[in-house]
Amino acid sequence: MTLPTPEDREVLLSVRDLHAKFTTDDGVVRAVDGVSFDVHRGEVFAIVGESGSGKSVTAMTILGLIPTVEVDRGGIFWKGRDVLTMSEGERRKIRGGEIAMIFQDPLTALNPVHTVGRQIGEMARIHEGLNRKQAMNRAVEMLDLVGIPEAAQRARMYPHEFSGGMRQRAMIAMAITCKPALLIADEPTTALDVTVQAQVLEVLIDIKTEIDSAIILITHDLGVVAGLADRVMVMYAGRQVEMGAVGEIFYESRHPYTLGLLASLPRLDDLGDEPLVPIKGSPPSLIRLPSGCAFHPRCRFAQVPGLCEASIPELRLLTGDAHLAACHYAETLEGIDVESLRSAVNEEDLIDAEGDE
Amino acid sequence: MTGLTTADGAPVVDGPAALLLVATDLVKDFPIRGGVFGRTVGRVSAVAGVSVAVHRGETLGLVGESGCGKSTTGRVLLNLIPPTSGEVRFDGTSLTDVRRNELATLRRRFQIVFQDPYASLNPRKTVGATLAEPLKVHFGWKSERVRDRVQELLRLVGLSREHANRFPHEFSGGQRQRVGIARALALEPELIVLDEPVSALDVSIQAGVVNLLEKLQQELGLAYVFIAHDLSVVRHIADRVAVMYLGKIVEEGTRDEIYGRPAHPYTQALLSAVPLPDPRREQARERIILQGEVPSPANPPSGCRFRTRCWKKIELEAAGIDTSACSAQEPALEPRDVGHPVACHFAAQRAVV
Repeated sequence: MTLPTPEDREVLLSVRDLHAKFTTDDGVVRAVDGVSFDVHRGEVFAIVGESGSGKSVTAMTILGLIPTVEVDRGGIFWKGRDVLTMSEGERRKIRGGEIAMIFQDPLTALNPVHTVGRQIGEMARIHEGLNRKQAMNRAVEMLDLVGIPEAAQRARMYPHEFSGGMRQRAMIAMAITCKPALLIADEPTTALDVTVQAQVLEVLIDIKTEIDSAIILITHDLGVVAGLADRVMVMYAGRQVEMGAVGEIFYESRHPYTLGLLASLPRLDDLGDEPLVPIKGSPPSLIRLPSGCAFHPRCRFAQVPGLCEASIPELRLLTGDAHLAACHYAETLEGIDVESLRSAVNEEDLIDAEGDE
Repeated sequence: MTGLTTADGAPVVDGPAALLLVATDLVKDFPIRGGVFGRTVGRVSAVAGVSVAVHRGETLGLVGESGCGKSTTGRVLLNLIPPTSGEVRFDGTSLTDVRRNELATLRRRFQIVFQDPYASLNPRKTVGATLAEPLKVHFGWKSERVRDRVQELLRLVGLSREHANRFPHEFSGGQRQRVGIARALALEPELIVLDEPVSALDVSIQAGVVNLLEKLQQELGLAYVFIAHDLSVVRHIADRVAVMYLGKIVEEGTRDEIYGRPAHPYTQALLSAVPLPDPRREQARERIILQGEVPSPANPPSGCRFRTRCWKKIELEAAGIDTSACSAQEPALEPRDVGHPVACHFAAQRAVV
C-alpha cells in the first residue's frame, strides 16, 4: 500500500482519555475506561476486541448515539472542536454529514416503511438541502456506486425486498451520500456470508479511494483487519491495550492479549495440524474488573504476586514512533510470536475450561 | 480415511468395519404454504440429493453458506427430521425404515450438539440433572452410579464436579457449550453431529473447545460430522470435507484436496473470500469475487445450480468456449480428472489459499 504515513495527514478526530459508563441493576458498567486515539484523513483505523471489550461503545459515543451511556471524563474533538460540549443541533449537523455510520444489522437500521431510495435521499435533503427529485437522483447514483444493479428500480423498493448483502450496500450508500470525511463501520460484514462479505469489503475499499473518507472499522475479525486497516487499536475490558500500524500489531505485537488472540485463531493458510492456543479463563465482568492490569488473571506472562495485579499499566510508546502497549513487561515480549507461543504450550492449557467462574 | 465415492455417488467401502454412517441420495423437501387456508403452494428442497459416508473415528466437515442445507443435512442424517426420500444406514441398519423402539435404542449411539448451548439446555435444571437424565432414561441407572458418571463427564469436558449443582445461566458461553458436549457424550455414542458448535464463541474461547473436541475424539474414538460456515475451523478439525451449495454437495475430498487443490469454481471462490489474519499475505491476495447472491432453493437454476454466479462460466464464455452444458445438464459429483469428486463440467484445480 502506498498511503502516506498518517502523521503527514490532517487529524480529523481526536479522542482523549475517554471514560464512559452506564448503570445497570447489578451496578455501574465501565464500558470505556480511558481511551485516547487520533484518526487521520483518509486512513482506516481498526478497533479490535472480543464481545464486551468496549469497541462499539467507544464508536457510538463519538456520535452520541447511546443516550444511556454517560461520558464522565475526557474529550472527543472533531476537527479541533469538542463534540461533547456542542449543542444537539451542531452535533446533528456533523452526524450523517461529516461523520456517518454503518451498522452491523442493516434490517434493523433501515426504516421498513420507506423506500430505500427515499431513506438514502433523506441524507442529502437534510444536509445539502436538495429537493425530493434531486435527492432521489442522488440516491440512485449512490446505489449504483456501491454496485447495486438496476439502481433506479431498486431505489423504489423497500428494505425487505433486498437481500442481506444488498441491504448492507444500501446502508453504505446511505452513509456515503454526503461524502463524509469519516465513516464509522461497526462490524459491517459480521452478519454476511463469506462470499457476500468479500463483495461488501470490496465496495468499502473502492469508496474509500473514491471519496477519500477515513474509516473507523470496528470488528472482531482479524482477517478483515489485516486486509483493510492502516492502524489498529486493540481493546480489552474497556481499555486500550495496544495500538500501532497494522504490521506492528500482527508481526511485532508487544501485548500478551494481542498475541493470545493471534495464537488462538485457526487460519485458513495453516496446514491444520498446528495447535490452537486458547487464552485461559474468560473475559471479566465490566462491573468488577480485576485489580491492576485487567488481563492479568488470564495472562501467561503475568507476575503474580507483583506489578501486574498491583497497578494498571499505562499505554506507553515502545518501538517506532507510534507503537504503544499497556503492559508492564511489554519489552520482554520482543521476539515472541505466535509460533513460539504454540510451541511453548502444554497439553493442559489446550483444553482449559475458562477458569472456575 | 479415503472415503471415495463411485460415479453415482455411492460410497466405496474400504473395509466394512470402517464405515459407520452411509447416506444415499438424501432429499428433504419442505412445503411452502400460502393463501388463506395455508395450502401447500410449492416445495423447497433444502437437501436435494446428498450422499455421504462417515467412517469410524474420522471427522467429516460439512461446509457452505447460510441456506445451503448443511444443518438440515445434519438433522436428516440422524433422522431427527425424516428425509423425503433416500436412505441413511447407521452401522448397517437403516434409520429410515427401522421400527420406533429400535430407533430409540440406536439413538444412544449417535448424538448432536447444537450451535446455541443456551437455547438447548433447560434453564430450570441444574447441569447435573441435565446430564443425569439420559443415563436414567436409557440405562435405568440408580442415583449413585449416575452421580459418578456425571462427575466423570464433567471431568472429560474440562469442568469440575462442583459445576453439577449450577444452572446454565451461571456458566460462560464456552462452558455452556462444554455442558452440551458432555450431554452428547453421556451415552457413549460412536458418532456426534456438531452443528456450528463454536460459531457463537469468541476466538480465545473457541480454541479451547476445538481442542477439547479433538482430544475427546482421540480418547473415545468418536466420529464427527462437523457442520460449519467457518472454513478455517474446518481446516483445523476435519479429515474430509464436503462443500455444499443450494442443497447439493459440489465437491468432496480430503482436507488437503479441498484446501490445497480445490477444483470446483464455488469452492475456489469460497476459499479465496476468507480473509487471512496476515496483512502482507492478505493485501497481496487475489480474490475471486462472485456476482449476486445465492438463488432461492424454491426455484433453483436448471443444470448446474451454481451457474448463475459462476465466475468460471463467464471466463470460459469470454474465451469463446461453449458452456451450454452448464444450463442443460446437471453435473454429477464424480472424480473427473482431478482425483476427488467434483460436480462441475469444467472442473480444474486451482490453488487459492
